[in-house]
Amino acid sequence: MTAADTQAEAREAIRAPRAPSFLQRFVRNPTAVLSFALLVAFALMAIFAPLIAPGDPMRVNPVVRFTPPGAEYFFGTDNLGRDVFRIVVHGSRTTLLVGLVVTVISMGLATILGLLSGFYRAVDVILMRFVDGLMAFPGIVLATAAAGFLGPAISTVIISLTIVLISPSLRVVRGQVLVVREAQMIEAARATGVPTGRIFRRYILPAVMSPILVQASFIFSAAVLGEAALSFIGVGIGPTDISWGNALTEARNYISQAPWIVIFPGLALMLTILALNLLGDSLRDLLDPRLARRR
Amino acid sequence: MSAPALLETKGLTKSFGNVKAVRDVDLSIPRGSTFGLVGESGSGKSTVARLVLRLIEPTSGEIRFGETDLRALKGDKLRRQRRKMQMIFQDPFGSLNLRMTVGETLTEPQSVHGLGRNDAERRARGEALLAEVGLPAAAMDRFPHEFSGGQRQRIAIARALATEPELIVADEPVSALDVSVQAQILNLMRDMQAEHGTTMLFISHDLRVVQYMCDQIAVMYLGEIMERGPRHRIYEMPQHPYTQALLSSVPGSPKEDGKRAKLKGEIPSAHSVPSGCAFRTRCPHAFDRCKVEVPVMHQLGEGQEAACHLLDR
Repeated sequence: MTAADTQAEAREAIRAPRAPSFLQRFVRNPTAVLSFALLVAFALMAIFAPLIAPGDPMRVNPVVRFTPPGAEYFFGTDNLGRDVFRIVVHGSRTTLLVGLVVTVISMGLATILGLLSGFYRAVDVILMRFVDGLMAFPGIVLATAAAGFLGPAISTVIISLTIVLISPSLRVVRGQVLVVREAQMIEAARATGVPTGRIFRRYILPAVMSPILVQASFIFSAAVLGEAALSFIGVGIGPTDISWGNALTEARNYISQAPWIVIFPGLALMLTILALNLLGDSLRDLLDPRLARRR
Repeated sequence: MSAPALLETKGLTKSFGNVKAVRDVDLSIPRGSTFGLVGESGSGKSTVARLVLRLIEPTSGEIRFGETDLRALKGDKLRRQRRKMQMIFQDPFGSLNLRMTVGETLTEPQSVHGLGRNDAERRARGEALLAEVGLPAAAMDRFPHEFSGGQRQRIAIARALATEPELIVADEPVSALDVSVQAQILNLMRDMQAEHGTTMLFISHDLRVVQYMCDQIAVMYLGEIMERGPRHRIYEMPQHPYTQALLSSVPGSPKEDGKRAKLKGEIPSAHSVPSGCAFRTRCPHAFDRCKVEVPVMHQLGEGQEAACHLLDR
């Protein structure tokens, strides 16, 4: 209890070495890097589709129908002699676009509504009953109903998937906010006199950001899968547009005869979803400040 | 007692549903003094801390801060009032934002209250605050998890000082720390108080800590004040059986001689506060009257007062 003690403790070197930044930890995580690279590759494929696989993917050439994968047709051809490689490359555009737009809109709305819902009881009571109502319908039925009502188009798919996917995301955000709002740092911030808006921005949002990012990656994969499912059952994008889901619809009739028609679009779909889920998992680990310290 | 009170409460009461956590608490904290609030866990001390800072809404009662009626303030007026009253929490890890650097933590109170002309000025003040609590300026760009518990509590103290408050409420500020660090933090807080003349409401369950820190002491039990007075009166001639029992339970205290009754059992639940005197179920001297009548405060001189029927005799 002497002055010398006080000085000694105060001068004690700051304990831990500088924690590595998020980027440093990200590049050291092979799963994160690999899944991210895969997604970038798919994104580049979608952007540069006309360069990678030039020509109209819908062009029919019955002479070469059911050609197995080979030098001329990497992924073979389908029942109408269309190049499956071209279909997969061009199909990524619709698939990823739908996934991205649905994720951005539904996560954006879910974040705003979830923050309000978790923080203000009055908003919560009303909003959560509405969400309960939405979630009472099975997702695919709700999406099908919405898509059937609006008619087949990309915008239809986006709207109906957003309606379906917003509820689970909203619940995730709200649940996190409910936990964070009880944290002592929130009370400390209020005691300091930090305005509510700033508490949202500097305290609550950063604390719920990692679950939001993780959820976003899962929503992305759900949207990609949802688009495929809607297109597969014929209420998604129109039959003249191509997406991986659309490609699978027709291909299923020839699964025993020409399995490559199914395998390649299916594989593209699977790899995208796998990459998104792995990225989500690694982000969850990397963004957790407590887990981060252990590395 | 002669100095005007900076913080005053009258009949402060807080109920959570039908649980009365705090009942009729009257406090008067003279400007520049350190007022200790002691009691076991569950006695309502922390609730009082949050009530006087208007972090939770009282069920009834008055709170005056200088000339200001705190209960009449709301919204932005209340927020701006907070510049003058800051808080130090028990757990320095929980009360700091782990995603903000120490620099951000120390400049934020200044910027939200419009102190300092620009970021550079606020940052300079942040560094000065760090120096004051004995941390190097290099700490500014680091995150809370890079510090030890004692260092984190120093950061929390620096944050509380950032707005130059008139009142600091410290809720068990050292109970989460190692005993060896406790003394250092207590010394730091005493130095700070001496330097800035800050008034302090110091809440603790640890009688030795309170004795070291406080000029005036109030003993709480089940949401009520049992006894209060200047430090020497409370420690040398406690009049309430509860205060006596608490003091004799301090390890190594000279009063731990078996003559005074030890506390038996646990503090009752606030759901079922005993009738009459709240302490009667554990009081070694309880008699019939304690069951039916709530004891009133008896003035015992030098500002000491205690609520016990024994003092009627």
